[in-house]
Amino acid sequence: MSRVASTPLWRILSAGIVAFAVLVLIYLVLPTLVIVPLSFSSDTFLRFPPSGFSLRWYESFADSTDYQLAILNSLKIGVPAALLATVLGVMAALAVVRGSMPFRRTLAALMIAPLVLPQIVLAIGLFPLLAKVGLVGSYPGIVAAHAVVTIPLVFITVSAALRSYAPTFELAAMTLGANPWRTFRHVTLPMIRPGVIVGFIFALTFSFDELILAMFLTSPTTRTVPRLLWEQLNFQMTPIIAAATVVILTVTIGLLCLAVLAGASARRRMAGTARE
Amino acid sequence: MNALSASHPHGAAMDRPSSRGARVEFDRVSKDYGELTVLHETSLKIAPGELFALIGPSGSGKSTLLGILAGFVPPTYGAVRIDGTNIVAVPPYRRNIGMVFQNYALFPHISVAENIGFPLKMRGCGKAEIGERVKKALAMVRLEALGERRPAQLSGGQQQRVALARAAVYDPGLLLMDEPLGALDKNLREEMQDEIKRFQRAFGATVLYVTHDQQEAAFLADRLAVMRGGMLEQIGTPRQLYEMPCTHFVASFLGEASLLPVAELLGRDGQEVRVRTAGGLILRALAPSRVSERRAVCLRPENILVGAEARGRDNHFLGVVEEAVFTTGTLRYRIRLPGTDGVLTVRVPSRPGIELLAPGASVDIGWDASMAVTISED
Repeated sequence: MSRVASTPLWRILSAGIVAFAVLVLIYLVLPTLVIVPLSFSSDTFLRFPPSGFSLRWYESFADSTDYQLAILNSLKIGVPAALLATVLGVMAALAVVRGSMPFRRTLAALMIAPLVLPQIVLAIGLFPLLAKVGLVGSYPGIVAAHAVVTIPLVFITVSAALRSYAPTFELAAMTLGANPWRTFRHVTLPMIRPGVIVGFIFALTFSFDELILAMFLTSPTTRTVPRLLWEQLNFQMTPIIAAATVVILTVTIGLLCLAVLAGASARRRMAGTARE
Repeated sequence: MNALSASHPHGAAMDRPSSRGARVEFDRVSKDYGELTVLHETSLKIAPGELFALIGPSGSGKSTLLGILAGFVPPTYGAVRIDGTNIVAVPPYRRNIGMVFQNYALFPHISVAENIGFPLKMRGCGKAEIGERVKKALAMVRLEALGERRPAQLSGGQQQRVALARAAVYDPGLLLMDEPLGALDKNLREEMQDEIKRFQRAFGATVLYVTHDQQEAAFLADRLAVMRGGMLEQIGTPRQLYEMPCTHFVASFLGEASLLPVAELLGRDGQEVRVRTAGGLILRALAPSRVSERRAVCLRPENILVGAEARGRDNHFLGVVEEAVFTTGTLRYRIRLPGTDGVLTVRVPSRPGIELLAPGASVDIGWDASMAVTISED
């Protein structure tokens, strides 16, 4: 191994591999970051590169009642949707991982389905259904829709957390006098907490970014930030869009950092845990 | 403490006098998974305060029997009684049984003291009472200083003691131990065996102890049962099982044994029989009445005498040493019998001056009838 690593050919090759990896990273990240200088543009429409820099678009973003309403809507939809997805996702993961019912594999596959299937299919399917019960354009409608597509995210993270330890802890809690609810409350939940938190953050982030369902199921009064951005792109093309996008990007990255931190602190806490 | 816990709904169960263990009875209990029977109809009574061990290879049904008692495994048929009450329909969390798991199952997210206090908290005890009883329990397992640590910061032996304290802090009349020493290395295991024995004597609870380690079981248990293929093969004190095994399986599971197949029963004289072995030797051996077929003679290695001592015994032959090894404390021989019966394993205490015989040497071997026992086939 060490002899191979020291040959000139290998050194050239490995330098090439590193360079390629860096290029891929730039390719992945750069288009996203183009939006950052654009948001500081002094121009009146979206143009790259900008001719000058200013904070005027952040000012108009902050002053815009449209955006204020959209951000509020995104929160009003994202938080309850993520909470609902978390409750249902945790219950589904418990049933599939710890339960003893038949067809658990099939069920696990079905749980992931909303994540894999095209959202447009769900949107088109949900639209007439929600229209029938009069929920199109309402908060409950879009909250339910976002909960459906984000349950798999919680299901996946919580299933992984449950699979990371043997069910002996729950059996032990029961012999010690804890009924099923208290076993969950005092043993299972603390053990899977990081998975639950990460799942919740993923769900919230997803809802915050989601466009297709929002286009079908929200109205001008319940429209979310992505839908507002989409509409503005069609009509005005001012750098306020870039400023708004940077804000969303910052919030999203912040949430994902939180998720990483939650995972890391959990790993530290459980380090040295007796695994079976 | 009595006055305190009397106000709690579960106080009565918790204040069982610790000098008295529970009486356990399995009454024709069995367990099937579909077509597969993992436990055949089994009846077993365990006396109050007894340390009863279940031993057997994996898949022999010992964990199933334990799981049925703990309430994790519902039996297909039969009744399980604790102090006369059938508990089959009682969920595990209301059985008031203590259990120690192989990997301890200490909750990693709470401190050692909180782990030990957990069962008290579940029983609705007050903070002051929990604190006091946890302190006592920590003292009982000599871990007073470590209450604030997380389980992961403790050594294996310490975790084991915490698990013991946690299972005993609420004074259950019955303790279940599922391979409690399986995760420890050999030296620590022997130390913990002493600890468990002391603990059980002091605590007074009935203990059902599952292990695959026959030495551990023999050391700890008042009585033990050897399990095999979902059945209890033999029940008795460790000494009874070692000296009077009924079957080949029990004889070879507990310690070492040489078995000589029996070809013909020649005669009977009270407790003894005369048999001719398949290899043509005429032997005298004990014939316990509970063994119906006499298919082999079982000889423990330390019961076979070598040299001058062997002469004049009920059974006396001239053998040939095939293998001679010194191990700590013993000389271990493989000695070929005359005829075609094969080779006996013999162990002689090694004392200074006793010479190790050389392979190929002819040697007198012998044993009295009371040193050999007839067993049934398997």
